[in-house]
Order: sequence, then structure tokens, then C-alpha cells
Amino acid sequence: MTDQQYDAIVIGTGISGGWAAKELCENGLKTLVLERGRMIEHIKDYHTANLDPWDMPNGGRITPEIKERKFKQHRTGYVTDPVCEHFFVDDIKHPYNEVRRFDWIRGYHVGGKSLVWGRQSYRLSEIDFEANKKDGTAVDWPIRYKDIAPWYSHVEKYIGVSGENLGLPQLPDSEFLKPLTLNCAEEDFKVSVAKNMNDRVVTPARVAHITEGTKPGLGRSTCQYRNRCMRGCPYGAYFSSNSSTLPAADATGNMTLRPHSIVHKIIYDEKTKSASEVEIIDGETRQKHTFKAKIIFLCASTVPSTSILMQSTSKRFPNGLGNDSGELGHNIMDHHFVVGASAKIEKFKEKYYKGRKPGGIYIPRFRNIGGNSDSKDFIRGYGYQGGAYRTSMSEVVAELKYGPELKEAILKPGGWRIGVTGFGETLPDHNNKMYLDYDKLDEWGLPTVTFDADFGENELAMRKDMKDQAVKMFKSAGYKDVEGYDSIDSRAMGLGIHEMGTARMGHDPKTSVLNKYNQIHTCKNVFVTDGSFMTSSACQNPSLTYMAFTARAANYAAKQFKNGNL
Amino acid sequence: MKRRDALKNIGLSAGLIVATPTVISLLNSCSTDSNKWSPVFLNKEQAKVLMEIVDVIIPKTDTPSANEVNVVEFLDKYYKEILDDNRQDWLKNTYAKLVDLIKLNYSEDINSLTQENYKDLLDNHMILNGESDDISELLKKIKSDTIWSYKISEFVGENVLAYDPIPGVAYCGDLQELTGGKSWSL
Repeated sequence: MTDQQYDAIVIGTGISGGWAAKELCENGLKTLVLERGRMIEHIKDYHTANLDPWDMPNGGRITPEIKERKFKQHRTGYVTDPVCEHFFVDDIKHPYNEVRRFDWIRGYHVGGKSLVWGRQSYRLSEIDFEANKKDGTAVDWPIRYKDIAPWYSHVEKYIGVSGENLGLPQLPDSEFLKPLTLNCAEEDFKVSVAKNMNDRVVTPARVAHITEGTKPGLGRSTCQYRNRCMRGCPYGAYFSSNSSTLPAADATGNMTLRPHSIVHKIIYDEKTKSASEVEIIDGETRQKHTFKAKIIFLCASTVPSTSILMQSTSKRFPNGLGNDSGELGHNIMDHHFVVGASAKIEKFKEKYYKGRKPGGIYIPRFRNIGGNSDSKDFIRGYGYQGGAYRTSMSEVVAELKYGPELKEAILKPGGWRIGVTGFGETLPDHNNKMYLDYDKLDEWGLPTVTFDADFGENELAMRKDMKDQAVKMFKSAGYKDVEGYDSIDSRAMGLGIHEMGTARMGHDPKTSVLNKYNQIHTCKNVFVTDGSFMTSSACQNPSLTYMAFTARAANYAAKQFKNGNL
Repeated sequence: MKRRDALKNIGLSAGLIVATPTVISLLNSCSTDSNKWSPVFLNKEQAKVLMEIVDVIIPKTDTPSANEVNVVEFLDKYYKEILDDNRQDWLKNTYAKLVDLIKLNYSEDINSLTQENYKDLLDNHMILNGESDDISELLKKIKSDTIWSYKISEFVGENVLAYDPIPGVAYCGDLQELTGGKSWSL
């Protein structure tokens, strides 16, 4: 049966869907927002937010039952923690297939992964948007930095991002709130890198936390330095759809939010040559519904959005909506990481910190940005994230067996340690792909996703440098027990939770799915604005970019709607 | 949660407070009573041995001992509810071996053992550096589990270590001024 007619439908409520809902509603469009999972109300549904370890059964250790139900989510090692596991899917209920291992980490509920994201917020630069064209990789981005810069500003001013402007061409400045303060060991490292390495800098992590004042939403206030962000923040101090964009959309009176709505198909109308309806299965009643709209924003996150397009077949699009190029589902990327170094700092024994910062340090990309920075071994680059801390117990503990001396030692902090891990760019490769398996259906009778992807030669070559340079920085700072590491043997795409690129943007419908406004080239009332649009991955954490592109696309769509073009 | 209520009633739930003798005696009245409590994973003999060992590892000083914050009751439940089958099997077997070794070396009557006997056991059978057998591995596991569960017990977390659930600020300062030299519990 066909339900109501709307001006716009937004599919998904995560970091992209929230922004699409807010911008469309604020532009006056009657908007239906569909979410496949349950409702999560800001604050009310963060039931673990104030629990200490002794409030949790067994000190909060992960139970065998969670490990069994969430065996793929557990590959991260942290999202199955009982304090936040309810924000991640059950792998038995939501199966997928792997030709090559792919860690697909998902959150099916209102707010999606915006509730549990890493909050690192970095702009892409002109170097990133020009890269594919310059080195002849994949296809050219159809936009340049100047096109998106004002939208980065628009988003940053609204969500609140803390950080420090450095004026770097490879990492553009942002609209910042005051940065997180470096602790004394991080400051020591910053001074050392400035003195010993003339090609790179250490800066506070740029994170989407309010560090001063407030921002719009449901009573958002400044960070209380509890670092329990993944449980949902009762202060609304970090940005999430639940605390910020969805309340803004709701306040307009134009939003209808419908949880438990599993979208599986967008219907293409041969007469109007546009999408006309969205089909859903109600997750509670299991009934099918269709909803009509003039504009559809697909923001279900990379893999689900691509999967919906693949299921949206028609006479005109037998291989999936907008898939004339054959690129839909291909070119999947994620950042490669868990490579770097750690070391001991034998200073500041009388120093300690108060407060638990939600972000440490960042070292912006310094490779292949011209001059002496160019590498012979790989193209593109990487940044480092990390931080310094005191270990939880004095080192003497390891040498004692029992008694008052041991007891005293376990109550004292240990020495300082510092660690960094690189986040490297992954090149788009047509052979890295996801596709649908119609022989293995899920409980809704829908096809499951199969992944077949891995990192390539360029990424592997880059990792050597990621490890070596981290070691070099710590050694030059005079730190002890410097240990480089590279977890390449246990690697898989997806672990970065930055999966992207399966419905890429481009100039040419023959080689790409979306145009420069995130519209399907050949079905212009469908916009795809989650990670699937990414033409290259850059090395920066991508969520800020998804938000900026979504805001830009939604405002473009609203304008076209008002002009009668959509 | 009688212990918790008792502590809250005397206003000890917030802030950095050094445990006083009064507090410790109060804790005594709330800690595991071996006559009433029954283990769910270990047998009674193994639980008795563990209770003796944890108080040698973390004895009573001006702050509570391991048993005074119910470390054994916590670990016994943790073994049952969290560890996988392989690990549980290993623990069951090795605890049995440990009890056999104790009986052989010290006394058939577990209740007659002294603290000195347990110190002797740890001195001779917990091997920190060098080749470690199953008994040593178990003793080392008991040591690390005891430390972990002691530190995340409510009393120690809130009153012995430095506790600050809502710091509100983040900066570096002097260790003594910030926490009196203690670690933060969170």
C-alpha cells in the first residue's frame, strides 16, 4: 500500500542522514526520515553513560554471549564492550559474506554511528581533490576545494570542532573552538618534533567536541572530560545526529521520523525518468509500505546505500539504479592503520593529569606534498593519531609477588608512555568490491552483501614508512624502549570503519555513479551523500567531509525543488 | 548491595578519602563470610585457598585487604560468567593441581595452613622470570586478577584510589597535589 506523499525522503539517520534531514527541513521541505533500527532518544537512552566499572557486572568484561552474537563486530576489540555494545549490530541477525575478510562494523538505530564515531574532524584539501587526476588513478573528482570549503565552515560552526589552525596546504584550517590542551608529555613531543623534524608538526587532535560555550541542539554543553563518548554523551558535548541535527530538523515541524523502516528498494518511474517511491519493510509489523517523494536522499551509510541501489533494478536500470557505468559496488576503500610506534618517556615523574581528554595528538600528512616530501616508494600519504598517558600501575608491580610493598605499587601511576598510529590513504581499485548474494537471504528475505577487497601494493609500501617515521620521531626525542609495530598480518578493510567509494562521484556517467552535486547522473532526484560518493579516500577521517557534502547537496536539492526542477 | 548502601549512608561515596579504621571495621562486617557464601565455579577447598592467597598478595594495611573488598567472590563469578570453556577447563585442572601441591607440601588439612605457608608457596612456585609451569601460571594469574579486581572494586575505586567521575577540566599538574600520588580509578 502507498502511504503519504512527501517533498523529500531521507534514508538513514547517521552523520549524513541527520544533516540531510536538518537542511531539507530548514528549507521548508516536508521530509520523511526513515531509519531501519530502533529509536534512541538523546540522554534518555544512554543507559551506561554514568556507570563506573564496579556498577557493571564482572567489571564490564565482554561476555561469551556477546562475543558469540557479535563475532564480527568483536574484531575491533572495543565495540563489543558492554558499555557500548548495544550500539552495534548482532552479526547472526545481520549476516554478510566474505571472499576476503572485511570487518563491517554497523549501528542500526536512530543516530547510527554518529553516536559512536571517533569524532576526529579534518578537512580534505585541494591536494586530495586533485590527486586522482594528477597521478592518473581511477577518475577525477568533479569538484575542487573551493566548492566545498564554505560547506565545511557551515558544518563546523554548527557542530563545534575544537582544534588549532596551522595554515597547512595539505590540511586546511577550520572554524575552530579552542583546542584540547596537550598534556606535558604530548607537549614535550611537540617541541621535539618541531626541533628535530623540519617537515612535520604535532597538533592537538581536531575533534567534534564543544570546548567552550554551546552549540544548537538539545542543550549541548562543554566537554566534561569523562571520555565516555561511545556510551552517548549526557552533556551533548560531542556531535551526534541525536543531540544536534535531528532535533533541529524536528524543531521545524517538517520532519516525520520513522524508525523500524527497512528500505530495500527505490522505484524508478520510466515516464518521469526519476525515482518516485521508496519501498520499506516495517521491522516490527513486517508489513511492506511505500512512500512517495520528489527528492530522495540516500544516507544509509556506504554499504547499505549501495546495496539499496543494487536492489533497485528496473527495465531502465537492470544492474541497479544509476549503474550504467558498472562501477556501483566497486572501488571500496577504507583507511589502513594500526601501524606506528610506542615508547617510554622517562620524564615528568611528578606530573599527572586531571581529566580524561577525548582526543590526543595529530600529525598532519607530510609525504608527497611537493619538494623533499616526495617518496619514491608510494604515492599519496598518511597522518598520525596518538597520545601520551601514564600507565595505570607502577612498573615495580611486575617484580613483586605479594605484600604491602606490592599493594602500595598497584595504587601509584606508572611512568609515561606515548604511541601513534598512522592512518593511510587507500587507492580506489575496481577489483575491490561488494556485491549481493541472492542465494543467502536475511530474515527479511533480502539479499546479503558479499565483500571481496584488500589493501594493495601502494598501501603496503606506505606502511613501511608509517612505521619507520614513527620510530624515528620517538628516537629523535630521546624516548626509551621505542617499538615500531605493524599489524598487517591481521589486516582487513573495514576495521577503520571508514568504508567508502562504492558509488563514486565523477564527471562522466560512463565511469561514475554520481555527479558533482551527489545526484545520480541518470536519475537526478536521487542524491547519495554518505561515504559511498568518495572518489578517493585521502588520509583524513572522513565524517566531516560527508557532512559538508550532504549539506551542500541538500541545499542544492532544496533550491532545485523550489525552482521546480526536481 | 548492603555494603554500598552502608558506605553511602556515612557519606563516603564521593571524593578522595583515606580509609579510616572505622571504615575498615564496617567493611569487615560486609565482606564475604566464608560460612555463608558458596562459590559458583571453584569448589570450597579451592575457594578457601584463593581467599588465603589474595590476602597475602594484598594484605590489610591502613587500607582494606583483598578479602575486605570481596575479591574472591568477584573472581569466582567472573571465572564462571566470562571465561571461555578452554580457559575454564584449564583453571579447574590447575586449581586442583594447586590444592594437591599444597596438601603434599604443607598439610592435608587446608584449614591448618598459616600465612607463612602461603608466602612460602608464592616464593617457591610463582616464577616471575624464567620458565613457568602451570602452577606458576595460575599463581601469576591469581596475582594479576587480584590486583585488577581489587582496583575496580567500588570501595577502592571511590575511596582508596583518586576518584573523579566528572572532571570538567583537563590539564597537567603536580602528582601529589592532584591525587596525593595515587592513580586515578577511572
